[in-house]
Amino acid sequence: MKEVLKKLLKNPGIWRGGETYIEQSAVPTGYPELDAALPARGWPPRALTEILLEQNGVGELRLLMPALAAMTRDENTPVAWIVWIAPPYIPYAPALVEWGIKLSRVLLVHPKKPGEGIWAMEQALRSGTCAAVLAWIEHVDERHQRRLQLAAEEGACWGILFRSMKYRTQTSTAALRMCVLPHKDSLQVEIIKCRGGRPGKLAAINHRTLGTGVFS
Amino acid sequence: MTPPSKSLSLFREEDLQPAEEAVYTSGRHAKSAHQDRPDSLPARASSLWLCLEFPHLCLEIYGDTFSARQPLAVVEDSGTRSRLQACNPRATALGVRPQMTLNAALALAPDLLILNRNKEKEQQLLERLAIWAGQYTALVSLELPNALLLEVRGSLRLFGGLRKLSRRIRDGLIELGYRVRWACAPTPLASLWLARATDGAVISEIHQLPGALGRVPLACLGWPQERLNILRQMGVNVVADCLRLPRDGFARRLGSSWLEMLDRAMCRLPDPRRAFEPPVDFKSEIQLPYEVHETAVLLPVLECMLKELQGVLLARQAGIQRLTFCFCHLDNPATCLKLDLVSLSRSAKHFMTLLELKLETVRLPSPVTALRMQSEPLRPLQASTAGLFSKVDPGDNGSEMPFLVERLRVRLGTDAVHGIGMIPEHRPEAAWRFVEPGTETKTWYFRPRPLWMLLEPQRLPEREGLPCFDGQLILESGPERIESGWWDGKDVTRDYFVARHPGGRRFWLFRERRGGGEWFLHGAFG
Repeated sequence: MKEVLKKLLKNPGIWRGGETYIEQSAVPTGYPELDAALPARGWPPRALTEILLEQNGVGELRLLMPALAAMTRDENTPVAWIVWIAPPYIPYAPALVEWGIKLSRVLLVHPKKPGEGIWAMEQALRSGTCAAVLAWIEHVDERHQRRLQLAAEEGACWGILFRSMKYRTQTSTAALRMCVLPHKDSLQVEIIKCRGGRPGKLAAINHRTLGTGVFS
Repeated sequence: MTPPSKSLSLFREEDLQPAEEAVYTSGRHAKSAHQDRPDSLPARASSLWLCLEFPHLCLEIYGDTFSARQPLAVVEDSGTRSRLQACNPRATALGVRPQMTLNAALALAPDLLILNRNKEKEQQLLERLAIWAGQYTALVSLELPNALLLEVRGSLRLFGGLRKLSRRIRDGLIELGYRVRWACAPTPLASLWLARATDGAVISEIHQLPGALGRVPLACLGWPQERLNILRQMGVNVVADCLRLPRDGFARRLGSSWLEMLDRAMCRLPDPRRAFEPPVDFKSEIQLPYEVHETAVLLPVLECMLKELQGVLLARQAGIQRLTFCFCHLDNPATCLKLDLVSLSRSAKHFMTLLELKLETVRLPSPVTALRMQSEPLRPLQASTAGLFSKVDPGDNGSEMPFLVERLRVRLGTDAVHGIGMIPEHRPEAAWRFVEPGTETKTWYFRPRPLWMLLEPQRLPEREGLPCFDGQLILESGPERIESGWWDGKDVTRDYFVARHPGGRRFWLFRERRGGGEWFLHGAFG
């Protein structure tokens, strides 16, 4: 009887409330506080992550930097590109280097028309040559999100979508959704949705641990 | 008058016998060769010529006219009358035949589309085909007006035998949309004549030549009509009849050049051929037989052009990075599309994908009458080896990332996709630049630097000696003094600070040390 039960529980469609599902290949975020709040103890590497912000420049890039740096340095993936689609400002090269990102693996895309951003993101995700695709696109409806999610799975690529906080209540197919809010001494991360875990967890990352060399 | 004796005949009787017999007899007679006859046959042919004859070349310069539903014919003016040179199957079905006068053809098919013969374009097409054929052998020779001669003896081993090679060449040409007749023989002329007489004939040894060529009608030799008329009046209809004639009489009556031609065909005289030398770039043009409105109709034509290009690039072991397409219109200037690749490539599939993307973004102002393709000068590209277990696209150069860059650039524009690099410079705004994706630059940095940088510093108001941005900012660290750039007129003298916003955000700002000491926001620690 137990054997049958074990077999049944191996079905990926069954999820038991008491246990957390741990994805083996999750990428550590580099921040223990954040890792603890995520069910997979890291970023989901082959899926879409949505980061909701009130303003750009609150510390959202610093959250990603350790994981991105690890990806560009990974010896197993010789060509792992990081694509930036429609960044609101210029990603500053000296700072990227300081964080350990290989500059020759950075690709900036500045679409001119509204629909082109999503198209470019899908192409990059699907290409299978990118480690991560960061995109600042406001208007993404559910159909597009589903496409992006599928593209990320197909191309084994981490897609990160930065959007405004006002989309918080919108349904989303992203594997991970989080709100990032700056506080006086720390950066508050609230998990709104995550695959294989319960939402609502909070993580506060101290500005000192966030680095940047501000306090060095 | 006695019948011409054996010694007087142009060639020995045995030569006209079936192959096996000829082998045994040639040795016996070798010593008794006559003075007026060139050396006897070598035992084994050193070369093997594959002739590709394009019987419909004059039609094919107009693209794929064969499947066209409209009856088409090419007309050449000869003196007072216009005669048809070729026609497509649709016209043949209506009873139109080559060599008909134009009036007769129009009487049979009133809606016949008449195209003018363009010998210059035909030669250009033949040259392009010669370049394409260069992927199979080093020696390709043009045989005007409509044939190519390929020396293939050296290629047989590489391509797995004559049968495989000839099938590959023929299938390749059919795929490109050309009708071809072919034959193989140890001499160039023999292969040409055989191709005209029997499509697909293969003669690999010299001793088989007389037997095989003997059955070829004289009309296939391409000799002038008046010479053929003389021969026909003498009752000479096939090559074998010709070979039985006495040599001196033949030379006297018809001219020695024709005798020499026969000798060359029979491998009794050497027949060296000049190899075709391809130009440094690749041009191709297709005149569409009618105006085309839809890009979807153009795609198959473009694909054929690109496949041809791929063949040429393979043959020359070259690649290209830039390719221009011109769509010619009747009443508008031509629409030109440029394809810019990140690296050298030779894959037709690759070019086609990019071209399709490009065409999606372009509206053609009016119907297209002709297509022109022009490459930059070809550049050497190392050949990629095919996979051991998988079939690899022969034109593919194996790298995926440039392909993504190209896809994005084709759709969004070249200036929308960049890489990023560093410059050893103290001034923050001059310490970075856009570069070609994938370029390595020397890294160089100071701390702290923000991840987000403003393109232009933003001036901040000041309150109680401190800058304000959405609230008063608190200076956390600094100053870092940067004074540099006196040599290019954009010199700066600034004190940089890290500032904290009451809401928790961190900014990078500076105070101008000249003028009124104003505050500027330059970046954010995103």
